[in-house]
Amino acid sequence: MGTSVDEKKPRLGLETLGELIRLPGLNVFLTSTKELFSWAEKSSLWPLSFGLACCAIEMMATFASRFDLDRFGVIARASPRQSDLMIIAGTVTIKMAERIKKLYNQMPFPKWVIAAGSCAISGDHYRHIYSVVPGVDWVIPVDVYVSGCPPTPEAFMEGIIRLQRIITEGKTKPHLNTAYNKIEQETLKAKPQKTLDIPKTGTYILPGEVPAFARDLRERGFDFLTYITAVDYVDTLDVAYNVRSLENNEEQTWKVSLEPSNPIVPSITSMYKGAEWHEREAYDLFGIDFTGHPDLRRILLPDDWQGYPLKKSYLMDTPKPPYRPSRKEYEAWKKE
Amino acid sequence: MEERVIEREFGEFALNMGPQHPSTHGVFRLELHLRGETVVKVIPHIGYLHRGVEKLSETLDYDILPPVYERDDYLSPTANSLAFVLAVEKLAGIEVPKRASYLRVLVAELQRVTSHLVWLGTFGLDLGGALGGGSTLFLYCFREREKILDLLEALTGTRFHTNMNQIGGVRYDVYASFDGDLSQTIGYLKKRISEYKDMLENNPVFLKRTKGVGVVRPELAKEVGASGPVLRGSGVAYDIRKNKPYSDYTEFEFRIPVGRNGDAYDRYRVRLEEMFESLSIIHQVMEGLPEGPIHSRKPVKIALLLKPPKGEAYAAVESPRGELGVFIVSDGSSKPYRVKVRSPSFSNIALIPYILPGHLIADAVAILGSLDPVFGDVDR
Ligand code: SF4
Repeated sequence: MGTSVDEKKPRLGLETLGELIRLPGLNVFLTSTKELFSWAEKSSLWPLSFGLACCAIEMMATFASRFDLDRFGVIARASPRQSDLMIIAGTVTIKMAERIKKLYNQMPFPKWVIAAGSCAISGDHYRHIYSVVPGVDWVIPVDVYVSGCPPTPEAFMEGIIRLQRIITEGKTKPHLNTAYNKIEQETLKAKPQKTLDIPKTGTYILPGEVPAFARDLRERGFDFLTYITAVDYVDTLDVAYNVRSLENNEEQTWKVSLEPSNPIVPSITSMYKGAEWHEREAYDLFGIDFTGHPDLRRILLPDDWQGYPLKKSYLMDTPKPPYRPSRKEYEAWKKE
Repeated sequence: MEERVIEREFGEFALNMGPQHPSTHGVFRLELHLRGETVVKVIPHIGYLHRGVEKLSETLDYDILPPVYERDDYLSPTANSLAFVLAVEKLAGIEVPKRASYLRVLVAELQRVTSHLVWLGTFGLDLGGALGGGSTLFLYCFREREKILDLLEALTGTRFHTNMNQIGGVRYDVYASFDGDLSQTIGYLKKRISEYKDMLENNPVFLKRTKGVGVVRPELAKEVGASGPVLRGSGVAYDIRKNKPYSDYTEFEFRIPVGRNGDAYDRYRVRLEEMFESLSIIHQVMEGLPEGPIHSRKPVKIALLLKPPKGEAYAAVESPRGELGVFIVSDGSSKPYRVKVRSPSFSNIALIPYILPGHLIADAVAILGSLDPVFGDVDR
């Protein structure tokens, strides 16, 4: 018991925590367990390695060779069970929010959260987008905010140091927004639409002709599917297709006009495998029904989503409780 | 008891990978159906980073949008804004000064190198134990990447969301000693990247884990719309920079590296060679950088309310991941009526259900890594 203290050995900073009493043949170190634990906690923060968007790339750079977070005792772990810190670096979407909550709940106590970057703090320029949570503090409590878009590695390190200070001082007061309790589903009010006279150029064909047209092109060597997309012209809903022949460096675009109230067009998945995902996207965002598609369901948005966001009648800031407040509620919360 | 063992041996079970998983390169979920350790069916789930940038574009002025687009594919931000400004310039008939075109190429190619370096580093992590614990390559690549980021920071003030492109030109000109700094960096990078090439291509474990793994036939790649190194790895020499040149790419000499078998190794080779080609393009840009203005419109401090005529335009660039195109419909107002981003990663990872089955689960990670998806680009 009681190893003797070597004066020349580098100190661990323990002396700031308590008192060392030297007795003949035995040294006793007195401190409160609270201080000892917080010292241990702050020196071995293990974040969950988990990146959401652009900010995560800067976070990775901070972990890597030049900035080296290891020297703060920060080592990324792949499992939430082994971590006590969660760095939210990037945009939080509604689809991801539930997963973040789950990961957070899987982490053992004590645990901390750093919201890094404008997106994690407030949603940045995406804050009024239907699918984005305007700040991760609508989902889980946040201890430290690091600003930037993306935060520089220096800012990340500052955030870590700030968290360490909070832990030593024992002043953790995580922030969680609760306004969402009040939010109810707003009814979608369609804006009055004026008809536009945008020239509709290009090759227009009838919806029924699509498979034959595509097959013909496919046989003529147009075997590269570039994209399938749609445009909501209010009076019609147009689908645009583009295919290429890479050998001859030629391309072919064609369009179909659909009835907005009942958009149906035959699928071209049997000709082009890539059409599967593009058609699912057009279905997800515009509600276009591709008949004959093997697996037509939502691709970008959660399965239980209501409405088709890229239609002109869909409001950009349509809330989807519980994590997405409406613009009004968000502004009110910001003023508080 | 025995029944259960048999069930385990011969039954099929589903494994969920992601959306938080260190090897999915972002927020991506794979539903893997396994028989033993062999993948029999895959259902990819995307959309965890859908930020609705297409809807957002409909509410913002044209001049504000390039920086927003840079957030899409965050490993090569300028490729996004370049595709956007090219489409707007096409629509509005705006001329771009030659010097600006050259500077656009300069930044785009620098970011191609950084993007491929991040890819190589994370690919090292994916292969894990094969490369000395995996993190060796990761740390090396990030060290090299910092050199370029320093250059970009000196040039534009930010490390990778450079905000370089604006409609009608670029925002920042090179500074006096940039040439010297750049050639020093290029020399350094060439030496280092050759080292990694030797290190990897003489490593039997690396070869074993990448050769013949995740073969993409050229017909499949084309049908799905895969582009960039994935398509070229399968032997199709298609590069937007050559086939539909933009931004004065016709004035530079460079090769289009192609693979032969379409496996993960070929995709690695294509990307590695591309880094050397990019460095050579950067060198040529600095050699032939013409004098003159860097934008044809006034520098944008406030939104100038550009109003392109009614109509539509599509412009594409070769991003490090492939064809990145922007399709704009204008109604004659100061905001786009509709913007569609044709993103390369979206089409590239649509390959997954076709190429994963039949492989071992450990290879799934290597194959996913070799496709180099960026989820900001997939989900937009
Ligand atoms: S804060 Fe900026 S850099 Fe970070 S995720 Fe959001 S858009 Fe990307």
